[in-house]
Amino acid sequence: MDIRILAFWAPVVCLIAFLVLIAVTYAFRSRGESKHKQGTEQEKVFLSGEDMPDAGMRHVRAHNIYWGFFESLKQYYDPLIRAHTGIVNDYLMWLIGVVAIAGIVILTAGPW
Amino acid sequence: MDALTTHAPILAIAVPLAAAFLTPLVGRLGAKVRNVFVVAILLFVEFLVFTVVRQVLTAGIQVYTLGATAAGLAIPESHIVPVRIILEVDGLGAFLGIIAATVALSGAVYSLSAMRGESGQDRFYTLLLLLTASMLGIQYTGDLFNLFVFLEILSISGAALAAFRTRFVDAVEGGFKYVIVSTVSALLVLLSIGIFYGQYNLLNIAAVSDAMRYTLLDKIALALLIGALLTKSGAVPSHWWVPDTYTPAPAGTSPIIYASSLTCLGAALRIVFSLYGVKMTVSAVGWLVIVAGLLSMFIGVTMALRQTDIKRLMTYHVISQEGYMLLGFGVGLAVLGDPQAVAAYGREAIAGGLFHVLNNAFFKGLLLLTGEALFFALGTRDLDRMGGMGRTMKWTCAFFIIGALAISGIPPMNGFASKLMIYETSYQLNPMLAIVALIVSIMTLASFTKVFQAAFTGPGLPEYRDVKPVPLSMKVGMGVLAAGTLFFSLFPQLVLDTIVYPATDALLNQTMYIGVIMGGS
Repeated sequence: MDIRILAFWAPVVCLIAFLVLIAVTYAFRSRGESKHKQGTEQEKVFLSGEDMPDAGMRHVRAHNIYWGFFESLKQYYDPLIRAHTGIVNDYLMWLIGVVAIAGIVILTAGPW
Repeated sequence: MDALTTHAPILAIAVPLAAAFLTPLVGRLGAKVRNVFVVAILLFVEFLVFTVVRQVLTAGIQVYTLGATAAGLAIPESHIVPVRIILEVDGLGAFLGIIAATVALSGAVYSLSAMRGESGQDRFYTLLLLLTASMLGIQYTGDLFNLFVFLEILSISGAALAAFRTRFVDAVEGGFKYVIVSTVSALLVLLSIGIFYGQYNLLNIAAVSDAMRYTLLDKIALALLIGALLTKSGAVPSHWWVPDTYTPAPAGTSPIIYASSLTCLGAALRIVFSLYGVKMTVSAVGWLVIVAGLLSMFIGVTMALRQTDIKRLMTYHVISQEGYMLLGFGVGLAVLGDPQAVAAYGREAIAGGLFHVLNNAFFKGLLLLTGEALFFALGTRDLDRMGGMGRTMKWTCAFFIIGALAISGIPPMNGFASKLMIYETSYQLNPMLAIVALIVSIMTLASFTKVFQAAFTGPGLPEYRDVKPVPLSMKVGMGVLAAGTLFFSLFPQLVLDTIVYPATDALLNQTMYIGVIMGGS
């Protein structure tokens, strides 16, 4: 039996669907308010009446993203980070470990 | 033209090798002449590689014997075994050759602008051409000792390229770690070659495979080779050198060093399938590879998610994506002793892994270049200091989106196509494998969403008001890889039928690989 997993996969159809969605989105967008006054208060972000902070303050920086995820998985991350010592001798120990594990698996598996 | 076709396999290695040593001389005529020379050589290598591909697809495995009276004369008269250095290019070698040549070309074009102002550019391009020659040498050779020699050239040139910007301490440190780990790995390869030579008096892969008796020493050699080549390709748990080396590597070289890691993965496939092959019916070897794949996928992506250095983040994805490839190959290996399972899903699993190798070389290479483009423009790799770059670096942003969608496996991108093949086939071996692969894919998307949000979206930051888009040659370098990614996305079946399935069948047809050298095919 010879299966061809991608035989039913048609990326061009997917692309056409994507383009149709873009066209629909653009149609919705073009029905929006176009009479706003450029360069006035109307262009500012509305933050419940508060002044808009500077660009640097408005941007969410990378270390804030998924902060809670890392915090809750501290017990997973800490040993992994500790294991990456940066010392090349340790890297070679890992290499020897991999060879040893491969050797044990290959020598004990069988019959060949 | 016939002579060019006949000699294309050796020319594809010899031309960049000779050009590497000519580059410093050509460089004396001026930087522009040298740049034109390097790009012209790499274009010619690309042409040679596609000539080899055409020959392999139309006429079968290409054999090129150095020093013989005829290129295809593998065994001299009055001999019963091959004694000369032989290149044996099958579907796998031809397939991996495309990756090496194309990524090297796009990396070199990208570097024309990105390396402007750096000192010692003659040496830079010499190393780049040496690395290209070594990758093609590993993929085309049919000789074990030759494989070791090219692995050494690859290690030395790769390490020197990684450490090229010596003014950065982390670059020197990364290059040092790379050369140490690579050299020890290569010594393990040499030790295993010694084991084969001691037992069989042979160095030719097909001849050793034909004579293989699966002794205790052969099994030890297999463990040495698997350990060494998995380490050189950057699989967990001996992946530590990867982020340390890739992160500070100069612009344009990261994708080429990545392609060299994929080349080592290709060498591992050559060893496991062509040297040990279908007689190796123990599923334990397959499961060993599967476990390495799962660890690489999961640890790679979770560590990537945490990074705030854009290139370090992307290099952890190098590890993670390699996990997918190993999963595909592992599933194929695990069922190698069961012809029905191979036909049902094993062949498709290996094809999925190979397709993912091809896809990754393009979209991962592209992402590494976009990371370098941001570093080039902003002078920092720290995502915490970036923001709003989608406004000024529109092309880089567009290329990043293409690469990010592809690596995250979003339809209709090529990453989805190859991952789908890996999900479907690994599910048939054990559903848990597919579930882990799916979770890792979601985390990959989360990771690149973070990069996109941090670097490209948000208000334009005042400190980057004067930042200009990257020069044309950097866009062209990224454009070549983006165009390849889009082509593979739109026509996956064409790519599979033309180059991926022939490479898969070359791996599974060990008899043919042995037969063209030893006779009887």
